[in-house]
Amino acid sequence: MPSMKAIKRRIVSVSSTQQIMKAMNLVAASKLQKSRVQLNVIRPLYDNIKVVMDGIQSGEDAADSVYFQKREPKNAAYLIITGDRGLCGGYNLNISKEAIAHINSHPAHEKIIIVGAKGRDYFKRRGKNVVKFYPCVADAVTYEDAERIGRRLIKMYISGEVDEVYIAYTQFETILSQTPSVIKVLPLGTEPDAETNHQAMKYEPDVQTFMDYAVPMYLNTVIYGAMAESHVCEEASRMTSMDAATRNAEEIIDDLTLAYNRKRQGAITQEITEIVSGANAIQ
Amino acid sequence: MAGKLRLRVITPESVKLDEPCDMVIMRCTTGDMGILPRHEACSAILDYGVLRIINHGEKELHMAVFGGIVQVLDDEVTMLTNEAQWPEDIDRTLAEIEHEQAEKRLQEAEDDVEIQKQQVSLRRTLVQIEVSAYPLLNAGESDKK
Repeated sequence: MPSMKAIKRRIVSVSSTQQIMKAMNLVAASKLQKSRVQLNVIRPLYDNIKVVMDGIQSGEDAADSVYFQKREPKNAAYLIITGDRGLCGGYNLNISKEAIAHINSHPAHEKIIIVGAKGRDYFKRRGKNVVKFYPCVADAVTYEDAERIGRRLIKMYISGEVDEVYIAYTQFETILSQTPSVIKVLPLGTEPDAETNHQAMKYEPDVQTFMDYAVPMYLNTVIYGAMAESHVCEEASRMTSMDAATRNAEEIIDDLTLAYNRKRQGAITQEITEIVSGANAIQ
Repeated sequence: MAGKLRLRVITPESVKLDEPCDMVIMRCTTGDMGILPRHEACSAILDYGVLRIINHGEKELHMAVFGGIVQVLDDEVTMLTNEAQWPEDIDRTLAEIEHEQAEKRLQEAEDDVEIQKQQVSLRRTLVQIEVSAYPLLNAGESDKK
């Protein structure tokens, strides 16, 4: 049984931890708001560039293009988006697990590009082939960052270094539920939307040149969107886990306070008994 | 008389513009391209240049657009670009300073990457300077505004 002093000390330490967690919760909540706004802003760009890509896909010239042709998957590039920091529940672990399951079940040799220190440590520890690491730019996902990564992926793909490109990121559904997922971005899928009626589109200067410009832009947008969405998830995950931690701390403090009060009551009772029995002995 | 065009300029940061207009003239890699209502469906690569937005009976609007792609489909002109700026977004003095710097560096540049970088910067600042001049020109033409 710990002494009263020890219990008191624990109460103080738990409540100061609780203060920190409460603050982290608030910070995450405000960052979540900001990143959700950013995600909404990207959507129009993504939707429109998707329409352009669908248009190209439905054209006849698309099939011959390097971006659409399927190759024997010998090497596959994985862009895995994780966070730099912990204390965000299962966020980093969930996406890493999902990605590693995909890598292990896929016959191609993996070349991993990692965003975020947590993911890098995870994959390095498991002896996976991490070719490039970008520190997580979480607090300010910018289009330039996505562009840099996109350029590298396109270069790897065009040069034949890799035959497929996958992106592993966390999809945001609600604040309480996020799904880690792996999507294939290159070669581009060949299932045009049946619903949209594509007119014969004229491309300037010609479709190949246009694709050389539009496909990297599309890829950058997808990466940017994935990064922004993952960031929203990270903050949401941090917010909920910090909220839970704050509540747990509350519970611990309650229990400790109860134990402390019991102990104090016990001590008082004992003292009274001693005084009474001492007084009785004198009489 | 055909209807109006719907012009949209979308960047990763925001939807810069979403408005009807009568005509747009934009700079593509193959030269200037003018779009009127009922234009055939087409897509093109945008160059660094001035986007001119024309409404009959109104003042012409200008915007600096730095690369990207454009799609014209069913009287909708959708421009997807990394960056677009209104004249009022541009700091003219800064653009001029950067322009001079780029010119100087281009003279001194040795490797190809540096030359390319400075050329891009040069084109960019030229467009910025051109666009930021339009409001001044307009103000000079009529004192109504």
